[in-house]
Amino acid sequence: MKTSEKQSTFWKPRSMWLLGLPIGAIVMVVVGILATITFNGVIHATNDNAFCYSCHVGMDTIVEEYEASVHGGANPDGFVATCSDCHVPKEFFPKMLVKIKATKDIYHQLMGTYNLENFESHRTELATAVRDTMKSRDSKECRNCHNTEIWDFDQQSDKAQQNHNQESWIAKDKTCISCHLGLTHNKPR
Amino acid sequence: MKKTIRLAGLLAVAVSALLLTACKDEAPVAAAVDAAFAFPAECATCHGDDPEYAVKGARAAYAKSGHALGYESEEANASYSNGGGCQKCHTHEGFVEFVKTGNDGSDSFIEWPSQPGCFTCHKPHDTGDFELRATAPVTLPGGAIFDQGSANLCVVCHQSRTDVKTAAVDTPADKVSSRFGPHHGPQGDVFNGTGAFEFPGKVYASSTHKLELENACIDCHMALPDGRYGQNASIGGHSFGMGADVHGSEKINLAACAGCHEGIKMTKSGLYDYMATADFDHDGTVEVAQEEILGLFELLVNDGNTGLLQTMDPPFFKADGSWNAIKADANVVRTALQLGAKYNYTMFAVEDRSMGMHNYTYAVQVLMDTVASMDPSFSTANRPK
Repeated sequence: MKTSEKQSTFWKPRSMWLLGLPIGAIVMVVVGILATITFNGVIHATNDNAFCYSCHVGMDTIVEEYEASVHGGANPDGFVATCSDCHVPKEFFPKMLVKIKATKDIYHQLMGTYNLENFESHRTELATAVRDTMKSRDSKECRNCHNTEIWDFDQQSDKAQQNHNQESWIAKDKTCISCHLGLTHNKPR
Repeated sequence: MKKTIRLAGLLAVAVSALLLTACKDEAPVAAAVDAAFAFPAECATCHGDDPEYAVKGARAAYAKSGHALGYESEEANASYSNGGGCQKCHTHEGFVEFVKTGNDGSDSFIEWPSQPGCFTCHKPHDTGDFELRATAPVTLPGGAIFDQGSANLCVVCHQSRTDVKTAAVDTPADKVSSRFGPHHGPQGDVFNGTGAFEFPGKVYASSTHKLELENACIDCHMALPDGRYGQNASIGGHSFGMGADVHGSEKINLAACAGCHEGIKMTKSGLYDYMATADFDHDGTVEVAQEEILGLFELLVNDGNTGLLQTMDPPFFKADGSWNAIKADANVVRTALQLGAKYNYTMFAVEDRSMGMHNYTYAVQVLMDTVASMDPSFSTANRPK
């Protein structure tokens, strides 16, 4: 076989095959867009209260406790902080870490690890784990809304003003959740 | 000449060998003498001029403690409480034996009993750092686990000796003792949020203290107050005292509280000046947290003999406040709920003695439920969750 024949076979495909390049690129872009939309949709959907409720209603009592709390809307303005506002970080990587960790909940849901009958006996371990996570993040999810830099101390009670001495917090390694445990869900034993 | 030099050389070698042998034999003797009579550096860290452990100060505080003086500082009771298993907590020897072997000595007594002292709680020389004798989590009578760091040692004794679930059952009234309740120091149970008579259908919780005070008892009772009265041996440290008369006036230890409750003070009546979140005793006023607890006690027993435990039929207490001892009568039965109410009153008002401070949430919940069980008109709408 001559060299020129080899080249024509390898380097000169039929023109119809050349369409594969732009089509492939378009497909990749479309797939990428769809993947991004799906990803964001999943993240958004799994941040929604309805998603949390789909397991927690009937499994334990934390939804009922939350809905009766200040954060669940029992306040003069009816303002509601969602489950994810408190339990899911806003930053991308910490958020992904929480989502990945949360996949273990699927196992517990399938196995029926927690139910209304045994929930109270597990409350302390579960609440302590959430508290430890919040402490490790210096209560960042509280501070997303309760920005201490713009607090009006005159609106706080004397007791709150004393307890909200932030220099003291830092010196004593305290953070919001150190004191405000049980604000939304019942306190553990 | 050469012979002379050789002889001198041999002589020098022989003398050197002898001297070296002598030195080799003397070295261990000198070391042994040092070990026997010198003051090792490790001891000096505790007992020297600049001690790591303030042994003398600790001893002065211990001398003011309930461990040394007995309950309410009235009488050292190592001899009185020696036997029947009481020596496990009321004597040094009984405690050490119990921690080592698990034997509470219920079928024996200590021949020469002594008060709980330094080496009851500490192992002074095992590791040279005064380590505690017991650090393992403690299983309380009801089966709950107490695991709060160094306080595990305290709760070997400071726990109820009664499981209320088996004790508070329908019982003929003549079989019910005035002492019915947890004996004697249920502080570990209270701090743990367990051990009280809990009412069916109710959910119970603990104060944030339980999670924030990792060493429980130790974190508050051994905190040394700031300032001059920190020097008072009756407050904090090894006195374990939370309050004392200092220069003619009552002082309470605020040092541990201030870690979270910045600026906390003492009320004129000697309580912690920290407001309750609601009017739990329904007297129409939101008072400091301990006052609310005292109000709940008074709803059960009070000086006017109008408390629920004084006015029930038949009452636990007579009009003069004394125990209403009922003679054998098959028709009089104390129900489980009545005994639960008596148990809870004794637990919080008589034995725990912290006026709720050991676990405020649990104390309020249990006391409100207790009052409501005897007086259905008592609202528990503001019961803490």
